[in-house]
Amino acid sequence: MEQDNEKRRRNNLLVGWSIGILAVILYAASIYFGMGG
Amino acid sequence: MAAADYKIISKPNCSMTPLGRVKLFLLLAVIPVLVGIGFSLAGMWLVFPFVGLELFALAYAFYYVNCHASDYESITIDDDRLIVEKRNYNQTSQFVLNPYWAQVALSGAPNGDLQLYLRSHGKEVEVGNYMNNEQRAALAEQLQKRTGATYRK
Repeated sequence: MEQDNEKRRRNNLLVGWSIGILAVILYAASIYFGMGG
Repeated sequence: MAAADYKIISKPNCSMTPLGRVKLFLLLAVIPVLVGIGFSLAGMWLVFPFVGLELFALAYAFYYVNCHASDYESITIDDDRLIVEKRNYNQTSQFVLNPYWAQVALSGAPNGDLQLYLRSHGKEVEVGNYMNNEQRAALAEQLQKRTGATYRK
């Protein structure tokens, strides 16, 4: 049970950071290319 | 009555894997990015705050879905105990009722949804959150046969 919770917590962190970093990269890229590169 | 004579587990409909969620997010996030770049190159750079808003709202929605993907509700009847276990994000709660005294209540909400409650000794717990109205009605019928005056050990 404890291991399951720990695994879920790590999975949530991993997915959260992955999605967050992708969002920041995409946003920065859109501004960079939108301003003409 | 044998141990765990009746057990039902309901989960939200989340069939996608965590990696699948990240991939879908990437796919959906590319659309506002391309739209933002297009509008900006046409001189309308003010679209960027809205692109950012959309991206982060989408990211939060996917994160929220991922956090709640392993939520569940289980109802177990064994011997003299009716156990309702619920997990919401990282919190698990358990309610133990006596099946003989438990009452099953099905009521209609103003929006037309049915709400299913198990009540006993001043305690009330809502069940069937991940079900539709037909499934809740069927569950209520099954529980009514196994609780209250109809309960036989």
